[in-house]
Amino acid sequence: MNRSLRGRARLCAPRTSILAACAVLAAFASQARAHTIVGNRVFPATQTIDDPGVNDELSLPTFSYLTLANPDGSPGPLTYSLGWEYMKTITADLGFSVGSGGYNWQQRPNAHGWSNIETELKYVIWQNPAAESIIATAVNVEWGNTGSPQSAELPSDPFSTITFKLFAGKGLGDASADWLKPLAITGEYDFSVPASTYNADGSENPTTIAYGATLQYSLFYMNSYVQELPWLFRRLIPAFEADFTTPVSNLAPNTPGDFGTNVTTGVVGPSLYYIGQYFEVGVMAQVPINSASGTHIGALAIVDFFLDDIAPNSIGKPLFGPPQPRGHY
Amino acid sequence: MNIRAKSFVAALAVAAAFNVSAFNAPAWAHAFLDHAVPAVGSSVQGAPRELTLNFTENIAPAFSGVTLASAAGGAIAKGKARVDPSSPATLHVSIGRKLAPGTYVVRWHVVSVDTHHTSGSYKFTVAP
Ligand SMILES: [Cu+2]
Repeated sequence: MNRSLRGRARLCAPRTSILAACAVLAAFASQARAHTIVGNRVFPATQTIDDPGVNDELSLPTFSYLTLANPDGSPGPLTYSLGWEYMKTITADLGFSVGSGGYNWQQRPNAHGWSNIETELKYVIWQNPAAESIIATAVNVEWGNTGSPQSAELPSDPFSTITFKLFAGKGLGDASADWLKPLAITGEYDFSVPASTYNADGSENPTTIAYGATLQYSLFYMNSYVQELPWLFRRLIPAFEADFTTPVSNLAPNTPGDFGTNVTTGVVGPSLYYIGQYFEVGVMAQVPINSASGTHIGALAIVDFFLDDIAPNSIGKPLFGPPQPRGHY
Repeated sequence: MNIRAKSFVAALAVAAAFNVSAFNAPAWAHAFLDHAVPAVGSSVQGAPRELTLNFTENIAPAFSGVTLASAAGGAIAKGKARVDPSSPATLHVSIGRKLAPGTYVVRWHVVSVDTHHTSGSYKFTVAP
């Protein structure tokens, strides 16, 4: 979700006269949130990018805080949001999700509004439990004008956006060195196309690519397979995450004193996840990579309920076929 | 309803479904190894006569098993893995003979009651 926040904030920030309208633009295409289990590997629902699988779960809430910057270097609006997402498996490898960046509010100036609703269909193309490897793809639609109306302080995008996504994950449980086994990496690559290129005022909606990755060192995995840890650490997964957005076409001409319209924005930072029996919580410090991305360290947080484990016989299983054959050898 | 009300109602409905199910369905999750005796990756004094594996969830005995081997790969005789009646998340395995000093590999596979499979292996060392 944070991609849109940053990408659009950049486009908006210069136009101080409509600053208030920007944070909405700032507000999120929320992303599917899911934890994924491939073989022995638990990939937590991560915050900058989505994890690489499908599951039955509810992310409520997802929280984001970031301070934007003005082109002259002064601090811009403080933006906050509370989002949600529900994901349902249709088969063990095909999931449908509905969610939203949810409620957004900002200070300097004060304003608030609701993000558009998004739907996503995600499919696991291939996985190998023994190698803890998985590849998935998704199509996401953010539906224009389903959030706050154009008359609101923070209106939602009046146009829809279609995003094509590719995901991959790999755990290093098959590494020969014990200390490498807890490592895992995940990645996501997105291509976003606005359904309408031009706005009423003649401005353009850019096509963007977004790409991110997480490097995870799973103490949860280490405790089970390598070295028993004190109970306090057994369920933790520290990670480092990075996520970037680059506008690639339909770019407005650069104007002096503004951020360039083709500037890549993004955040990097450490995160920490706790894997409970039926839920997960995660926090991240997001460090903006440049002034177009923000001025200060922001924060992300997520609470994610594992419906497959909470209600395996009802809403937690796929509509068709056996539950989670992917976990089986 | 406007979209704000709609999202709120949708969220409530999901939350309600979640709550109802949480209370009505038996709750089982993936069984991962939480701790063991001898401990995962540990070095112990004296030969253990039994392995104890404690999982994060209750497990189904019929589909669960444990093997023990030396670091070189030779299988070690041992009893059948049995689930502790008073603690269904715990497996006990008696070892058939006194283990000589050295490193040993435990391989386990279990199924939690919701049919989720997990498996894995770990080492421990008997100190000389
Ligand atoms: Cu499970």
